[in-house]
Amino acid sequence: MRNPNDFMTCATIEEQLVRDVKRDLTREEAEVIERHVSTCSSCSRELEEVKQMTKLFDEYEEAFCPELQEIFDFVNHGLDPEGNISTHLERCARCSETAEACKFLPEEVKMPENLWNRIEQQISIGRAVQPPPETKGWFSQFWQWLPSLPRLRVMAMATAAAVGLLVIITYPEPTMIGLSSVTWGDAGEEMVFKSGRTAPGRERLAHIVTFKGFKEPWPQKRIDQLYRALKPSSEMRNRLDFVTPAQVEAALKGRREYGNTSDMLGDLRDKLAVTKVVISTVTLEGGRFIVSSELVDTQNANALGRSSKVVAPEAELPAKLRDAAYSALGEESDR
Amino acid sequence: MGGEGDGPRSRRMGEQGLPQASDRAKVDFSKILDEELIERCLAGQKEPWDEMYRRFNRLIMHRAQQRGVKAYDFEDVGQDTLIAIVEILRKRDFDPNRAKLATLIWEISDNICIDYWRRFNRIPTEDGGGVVEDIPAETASRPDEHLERLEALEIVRDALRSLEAVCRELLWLRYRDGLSYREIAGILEGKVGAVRERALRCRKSLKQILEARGITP
Repeated sequence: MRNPNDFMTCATIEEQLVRDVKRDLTREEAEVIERHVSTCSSCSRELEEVKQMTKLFDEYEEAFCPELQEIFDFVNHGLDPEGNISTHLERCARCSETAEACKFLPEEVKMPENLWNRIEQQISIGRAVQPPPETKGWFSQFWQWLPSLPRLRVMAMATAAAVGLLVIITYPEPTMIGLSSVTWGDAGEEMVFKSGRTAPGRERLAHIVTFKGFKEPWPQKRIDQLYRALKPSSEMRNRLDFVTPAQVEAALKGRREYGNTSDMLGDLRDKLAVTKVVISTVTLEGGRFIVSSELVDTQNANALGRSSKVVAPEAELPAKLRDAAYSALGEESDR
Repeated sequence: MGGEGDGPRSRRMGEQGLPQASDRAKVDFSKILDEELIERCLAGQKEPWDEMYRRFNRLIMHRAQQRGVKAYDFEDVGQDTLIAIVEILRKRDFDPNRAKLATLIWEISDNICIDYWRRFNRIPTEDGGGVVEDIPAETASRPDEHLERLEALEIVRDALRSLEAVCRELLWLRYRDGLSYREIAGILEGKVGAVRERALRCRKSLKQILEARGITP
């Protein structure tokens, strides 16, 4: 016996085709549609059309969305010439979120000081490298004066020299590891750990300070100063094990350059059972020091946390480095 | 001479472009257009950069969140984006008459987010390097596939924009929201038959435009 629904008209079926394609019908309703379509060529064609359109709009849904700038201008300047953007925002969750993100921050908000320092520095670098006005110097006069055959030889020699120079100047400046024999001794007490296994579930950490952009090694005295600043507080030591800079130096056998960070992490893991390393970097850039730190897992070299990059006057380097290191660690620096 | 009340001199400065320390106090940065903001930023004053930060920081954070960047890196993504913007503006690689600042910032922050994401999602390999796992959804496909999709998306977007607004509305309600003609007629306050006829015409127009541009739905 046929279901009375089977006698539905094409118009009724057509109404339900989109819901059918979107699998929004009950099993019984879907079966009725299926039976009808199998015997009706007109509805069968319509079903194909509906499938194509639905697929197209599922795949390129954002084609309906306004451009980012249109949303931005609507949110901040009320621009909506055709009145479409406000309607769209009401029904598109993604664009509605974007619209929220387009809102300006309140007027009293200022950018962080360290960001401004970086921007200021960047702008000043740009000014410093403006090319000087072109002048006809001694070289061009000399070149004109040379007869043509020697000119070729000179050109060949100059090319060879330039290649040599290029090799020298494009060779990347290595990152130097600063090591120190500081033991973080406090009133005669020395923080020395045995290089055995750490208690289960307890992290063992090491601090490493590296230097980038320095043409000459930094004085050992200054490096020691940085490591002294990194001494963990007693509260931190209650929760975490720290190996001392002296232990790190011994484990790395005084090696100050590693082609690969993983090798260094491997040495610390194998020799001192260190689980995490805070790598703090001092970069000399445009005559300024920039400090930043990264917390790295010795098992897989994955970065687990980072501090912001901060410009630090030379006198404040130890303090800024400490802030960065403990920020990467997710701790208050507790200075 | 040259103080705040010095009208003629102030006007001359304005003509030359911007920005002048003497009229700094008068500027309402929240009202100035991108073009002017860029010029003031390049002059090295802090206030316009504060404004740049206020205008776009939320947008950058939003992108970082969408891209799966870790929350503790949001601030760094924000900073690195603005530093990259300094470079682009300084080299005059951006023409505000041809493109929009918000779009530029969105794209730059997107690249930076991807860099951050890759950096923190590496699996170490034997050679000491690493491979990236589980790129976030929007970059999951191969770069060429991603580009192809973007091109197709632009074509679909253009095609939709070439239709009348009412057509876009009808197609959205019918094929995206899955509404029946009766429901659409209720929303648009029209007759069911007329809505159906119009929707079918709109669909036909869209298909023709897309097919002419090499896309078969």
